Amino acid sequence: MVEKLSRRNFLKAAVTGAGLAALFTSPITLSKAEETVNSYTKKPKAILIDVRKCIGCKACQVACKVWNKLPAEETAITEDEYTNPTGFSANTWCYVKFSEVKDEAGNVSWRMASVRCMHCLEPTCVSVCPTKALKKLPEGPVIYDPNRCIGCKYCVEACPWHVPHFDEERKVIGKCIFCVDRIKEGMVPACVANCQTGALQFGDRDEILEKAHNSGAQYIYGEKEAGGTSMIFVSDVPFEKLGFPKVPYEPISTYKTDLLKSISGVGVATFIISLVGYFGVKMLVKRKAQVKASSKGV
Amino acid sequence: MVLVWGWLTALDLFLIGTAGGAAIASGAAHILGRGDYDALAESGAYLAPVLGLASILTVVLDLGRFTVAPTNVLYAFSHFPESMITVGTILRMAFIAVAALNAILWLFRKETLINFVVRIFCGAANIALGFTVTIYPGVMLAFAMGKPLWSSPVFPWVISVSGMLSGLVLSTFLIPVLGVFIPRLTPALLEARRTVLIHKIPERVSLYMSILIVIELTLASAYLGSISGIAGAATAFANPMVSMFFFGGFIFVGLILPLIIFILEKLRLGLPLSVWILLLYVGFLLVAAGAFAARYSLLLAGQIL
Repeated sequence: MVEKLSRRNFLKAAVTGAGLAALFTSPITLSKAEETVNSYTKKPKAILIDVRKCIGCKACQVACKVWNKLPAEETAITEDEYTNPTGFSANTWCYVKFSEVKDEAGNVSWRMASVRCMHCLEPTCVSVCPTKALKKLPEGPVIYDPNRCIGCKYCVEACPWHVPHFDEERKVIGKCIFCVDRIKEGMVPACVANCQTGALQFGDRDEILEKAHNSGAQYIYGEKEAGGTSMIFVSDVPFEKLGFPKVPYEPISTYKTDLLKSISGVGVATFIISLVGYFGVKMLVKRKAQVKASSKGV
Repeated sequence: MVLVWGWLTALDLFLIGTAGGAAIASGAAHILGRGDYDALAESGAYLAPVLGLASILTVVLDLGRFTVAPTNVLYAFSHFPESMITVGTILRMAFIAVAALNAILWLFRKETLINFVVRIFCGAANIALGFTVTIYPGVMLAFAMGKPLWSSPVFPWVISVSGMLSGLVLSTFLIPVLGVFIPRLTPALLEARRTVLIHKIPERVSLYMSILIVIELTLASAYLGSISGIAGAATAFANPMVSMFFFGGFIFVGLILPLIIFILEKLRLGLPLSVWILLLYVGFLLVAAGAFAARYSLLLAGQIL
């Protein structure tokens, strides 16, 4: 007997079919985090990256490529690490950093950390950019406008985390933009949406900081570095062991003021020492000539 | 390793530093020289705007997006005073304008009081702006928070004094060369004044160069001392290219060797005068080559770490 297709059954089948099709045809699958849609506010946002929870599946890496339509690059696994690709490029805005950690007893374990632009609260790249092609938005993202960029690459040199890269083919700077298009729609960034273990969490920065402090992790990175960033890492091992750079706590404005003071100090000291040296030598020569003249006179 | 800032950037830093140094040499020679160093003042006055313009050309060639969006360079003035490149662009423009005016005043000079006084004012402005363009590239690099080898407070002074040195030596080197091409200077090359232009001024100037070389050597040592605590600094300076250009090119060829030549020239040990003159001019070229090597090696070292 052929069962008559009711409207309810038809809708059920259609929704199930569409869901399965989406699941298998979509290059990325969405995790639970996607369901928690944030109401969009101008409050600074942040991502909590829990190194202890990351399994190195690289779903964040792939999701970033897919959402931002970034081309794949030829990579290779190096002998000493599994990080692949080994760093940022104009087309790799997010990657998973693998670190082999040895404890005092000599036991080896692994830690994985999903890294991307730190979206500093006071970004060095924005500060040094001569054309204002890089801009900091109140909600956190540091975004890039190629229509203002001249390609001086000062941002590439200035970033303490070596994040921005210049694409020699497309002649643009490539870096994570914190999925600004998604978060303005109340969605979480693509990398967070695809994290399978909850190692990545998105929210308002003050809430994320609170979570970080309550997470029981011994080490926090990104809270104070360069004056504070939007990427808050928590870990059970020191971040130096994970290859994270030691960045001063002072923001770029304080850093520049302090450096200018030191430069001026060195300048004044050099000038005084040079003057003393110059007139000292001059007096010495004069004195020698006087002695010579007087001895001749005798 | 792919360098973000390579030899073209080093050339730009060399040209603008040397232009500033030439402007300082010209202004100082005119204001303090009591007429004895006018050939140097004139030579430096011509060299400064030419090198300044050449540096602008190298900057433009070095820009990654000039070919696709040439008008974007106009935005380079928009982030004042936050971005050191914006500050530098404005300083360069002001410097080139004043240096060009100074050169015109020298080229069409008349021995009138007003012309003399205007040249004095222009020379003073040239010294001030020349100094700013010799030091700003070092400050710009020092502000790159991500490059610890550039962040030493001594670093901008190494770059600045190097620019002053290369400007002074190239201005002196150019005195006889310009004398051939600029009609007014040609008579000065005639028998009576030949020795004064080709030998006397360089001989006197080499004393000031020696002082600057000693200052530069002291600053270079202080710079190395200031970065010695940075992890990886030793590895960066042990890189074959860096060590060849820094220790070989900058320190030995660009500073120590010319200093030995300048000291020996003062002692006049047995060689005929013509040989000493030749050696002096070789020494000038060595200093200029060393100034380029300094910039290239320091750019390289900073990017390795």
